[in-house]
Amino acid sequence: MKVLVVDDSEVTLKLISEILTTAGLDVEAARDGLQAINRIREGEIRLVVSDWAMPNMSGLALCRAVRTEPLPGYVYIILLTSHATVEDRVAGLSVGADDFLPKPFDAAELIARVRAGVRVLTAVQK
Amino acid sequence: MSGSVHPQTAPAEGPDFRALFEAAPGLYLVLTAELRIVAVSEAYLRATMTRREDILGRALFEVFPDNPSEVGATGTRNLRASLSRVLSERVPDAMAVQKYDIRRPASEGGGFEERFWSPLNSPVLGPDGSVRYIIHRVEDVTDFLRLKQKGAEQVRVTEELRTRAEQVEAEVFLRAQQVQVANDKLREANKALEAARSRDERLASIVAHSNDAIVSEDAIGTICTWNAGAERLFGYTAAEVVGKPLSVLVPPDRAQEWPEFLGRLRAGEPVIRVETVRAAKDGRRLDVSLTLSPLRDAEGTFVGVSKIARDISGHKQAEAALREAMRAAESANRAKSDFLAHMSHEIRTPLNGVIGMLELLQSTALSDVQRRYSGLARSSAELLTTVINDILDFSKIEAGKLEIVPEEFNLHDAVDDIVAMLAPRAMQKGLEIACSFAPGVPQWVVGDADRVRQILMNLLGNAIKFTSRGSVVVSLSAEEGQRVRFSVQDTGIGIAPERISRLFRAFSQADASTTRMYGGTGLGLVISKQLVELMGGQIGAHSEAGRGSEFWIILPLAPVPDTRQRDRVRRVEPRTLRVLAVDDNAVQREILHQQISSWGLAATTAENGEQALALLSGAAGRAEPFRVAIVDSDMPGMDGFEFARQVKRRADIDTTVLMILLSVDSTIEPHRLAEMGFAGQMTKPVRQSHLFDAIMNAIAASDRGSSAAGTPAAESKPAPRTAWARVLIAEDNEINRIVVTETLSQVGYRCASVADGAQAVDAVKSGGYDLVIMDCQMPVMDGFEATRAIRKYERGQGDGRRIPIVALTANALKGDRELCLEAGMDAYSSKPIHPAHLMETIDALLKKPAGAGGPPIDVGALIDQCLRNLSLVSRLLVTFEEEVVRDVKEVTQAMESGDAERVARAAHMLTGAAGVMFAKSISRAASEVEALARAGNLGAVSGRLGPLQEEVQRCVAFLPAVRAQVEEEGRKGAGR
Repeated sequence: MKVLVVDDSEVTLKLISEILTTAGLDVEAARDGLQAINRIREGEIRLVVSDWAMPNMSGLALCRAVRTEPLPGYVYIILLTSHATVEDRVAGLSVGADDFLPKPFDAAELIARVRAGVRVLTAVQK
Repeated sequence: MSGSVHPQTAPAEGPDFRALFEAAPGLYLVLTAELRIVAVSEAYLRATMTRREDILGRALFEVFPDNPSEVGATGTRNLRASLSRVLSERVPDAMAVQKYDIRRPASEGGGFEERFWSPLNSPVLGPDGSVRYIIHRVEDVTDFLRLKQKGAEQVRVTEELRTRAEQVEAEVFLRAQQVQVANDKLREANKALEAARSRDERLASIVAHSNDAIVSEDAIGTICTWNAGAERLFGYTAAEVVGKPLSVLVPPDRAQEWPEFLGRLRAGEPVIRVETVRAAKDGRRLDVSLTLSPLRDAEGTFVGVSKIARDISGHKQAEAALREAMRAAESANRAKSDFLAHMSHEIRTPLNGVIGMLELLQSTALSDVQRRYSGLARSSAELLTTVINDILDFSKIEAGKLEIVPEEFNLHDAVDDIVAMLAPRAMQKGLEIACSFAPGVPQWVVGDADRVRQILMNLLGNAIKFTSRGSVVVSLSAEEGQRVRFSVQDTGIGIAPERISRLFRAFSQADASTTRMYGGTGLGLVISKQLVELMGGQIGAHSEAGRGSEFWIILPLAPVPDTRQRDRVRRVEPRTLRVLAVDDNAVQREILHQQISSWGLAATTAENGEQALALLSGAAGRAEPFRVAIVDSDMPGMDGFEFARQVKRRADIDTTVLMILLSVDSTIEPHRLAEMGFAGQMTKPVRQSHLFDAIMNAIAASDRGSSAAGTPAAESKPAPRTAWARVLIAEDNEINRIVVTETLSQVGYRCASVADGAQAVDAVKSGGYDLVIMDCQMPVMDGFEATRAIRKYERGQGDGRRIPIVALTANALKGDRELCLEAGMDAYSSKPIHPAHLMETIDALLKKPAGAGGPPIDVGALIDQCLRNLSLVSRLLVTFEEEVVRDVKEVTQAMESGDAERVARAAHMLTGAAGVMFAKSISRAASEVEALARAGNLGAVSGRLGPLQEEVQRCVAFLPAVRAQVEEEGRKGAGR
């Protein structure tokens, strides 16, 4: 299962990619929402870990795009954000995010949340 | 109860038994043996509310069945049982009281009536003895029972009355007793009164004759009684003062005392003791001690005060004199301490400059010779510092105030250092000087290193002084009970045995002529002896005149536990590494042998070049070649240089790694040695601790095919982890300021300095520092005062920040440390400045989370976040550095163009990246900027921009330290 990590910060992108790779996942990187949605359209990506605030297309816009476009399968989205107010989380979940992780995050928690996403996707497929 | 008279009258002739029976005033029923009713009395009929014609001839139980609603009714069953007993046993049977429910006829309203009956069944026997009839006679006890119940109530009431009567009686008795007791008391009181009267007389006599003034006053302060003591003390007769207000005795400045004492006594204080002043008749002020107690009447009402006054003028004077004497003694003592401290400060300040500058000099690129000289110059300066301390110590020993301060120290290094320090002196006199450690002498021990050095320095100095040719050897061996024996052997003039005992007494060298010839006060051995004894050791000597002497000490020096010893002991190469040592001097040869062997290497010695060459060849021929040959430069015949030429000329042995032993004054340039084929060099005396490294370095250098004769430049000091910090140095002495600044700057700290305490306080207030190094003695405002001011300022800020302050002081007196900590400093470093110690202190303080800013990156957390993938950490650090520098530049530019949205975006990037990298301080500063920019408040952002840039700079400066830490983690990981 391919995981797409989306973040405009190179450091964060590297860190998350590496953590998830270490956890045994197949990871790809995108630097903004636009790059991400283009890659998702190709149909291979099933799980997305995305930053919230990004140039070109924000994480929120990415969620909206993923949910409105006809895609071959369900794409599970985890939003990463340093704005962790309740309103933000509600806004994120209502436009289509499946899970939240506040920044700065803990490596173990990131892995656990991604694995939870994988589990949900597997269940959906069955 | 009685039945009514039957209306029928009795006939005149013979009684009518039936009529009699029926009229009988009892409840009778006559039954046949079949229990049919054959006769019944009127009374029975009335009682059972039946009519004769209804029951005669009928079966008993048919007529009187049980009350069907009374489930537990036992009357019929009991009656039946009784009747059958009468029938079978033919004797009367009395039944217990039965409760019967009498069926009321319908005409009477029906239902049942409860009656209690006591029946008796008696048989009437026929001529054949069989039971012909049964007379059933019933006593209706209902009324009786009712009465009986009432009676019980009566009884209870009676009982109660009786109890109350008894109580009354008891009370009366008690009263009587009380009256009795009261009477007794009255009698006793009378007796006591009698006794009191005589006691009062006695008391009066005591009062009258007491030396103390005993006075009583009434509640408003009128003097009531006045004894002879009072007359003597105050000079008034009783007649003069009784009835007068006591204010005549109180000097005006004590007038406020009386109301206060009075208040306290009224309030219940049982006694007041106080020292105060009273006025005598002649106007003298009297120092008195007063004992005041309240006088109360029989009801306890406060009626006055009794007062005992004692003259303590003599006391007071003695006390004042004593206090004055004490003050004088204390001030003299303080003056002495101050003088010592001042003296030592005056001498140390320039000395510190010398030591500090030498230290700086040593950290520059120096030639080998320069390094050695500067090192020795420094050792000498440090020795001089020790001497000054010794002078202080000697006076302390005399005063019994010297303290032994145990610490962990490297015994081998300490001894090597002393030997090296004294080597030039020995060389000048043409003496060999060396030291050796027997196996089992621990490297790291717990003891007072300075005192051990001091003693050894003294013994070794003496040995060199009193030896004109030959050698001086220090050897250490382990003794039982965690003790170490130090022996200093010389080949000097020796001492006659009878004079040895005098050596350790003050002011007595072996003989007066010695003093003239060799100089010195002769105090050295005395101090040494006292120090050794303070440490719980022994000291001794044996000698023969003309044959040299041995001075020995045995000191308890506990080895540092193995776990900590371990990383300090170098790994030991296998015995297959063969080393040949060539020296013409037998002592030196022996010591080299021992030193080489002690590292676990195979040692062989030769006493000249020819023998050495033969040994090398022979070993090579046996395919057991020597890897290393160490040769003394200065030997008769073939010297070390010639030996090297020979070795390099012979193909079978030219791979031997050559090392040369030089004397301390050798001036041969390192590159010349390399040209001659030497891969390494050592200066005599060889330090055991350096030998192994020197051999290993020489082998490594030889393997690289390059010369290692020139040792690497300055020993590179590892940058402390906290080298990101900004340090403020407050020090008035310019040399010291330079020394500290340079020392810290060299390893990466960013330093600024000020010259007095007031400037230091201002600098701290303006911010931007992570730590202060504070000299204690400064003009304008000293370090203590400045520290107090800084702490006060910080408390006023109320944000919990507290900048660490390291005290720097030249004072040798122990109380200084407490003074520093009391003033609010966090650590203490004494002058002369020891860079290593100072840096350790700074490092330790800054690692504490309480530090002002704390490290810019929580490296431990970052490493954990990267799942301990250290190469990832390293790569992230590179990216992070680029990113933060770029983002902070972007923030700055966006600010210039006034684009709040762009500022917020860039600040957000910084916040995020810093957040994931655990660079909390950047993250915090950036998120503040982000929030302000988002709110469009660019004015406020411009105030925060500086701190943010500063944080980023601080963090970038910290990155090398992070890398060092990551590498260290890597090594630790590899070692696991």
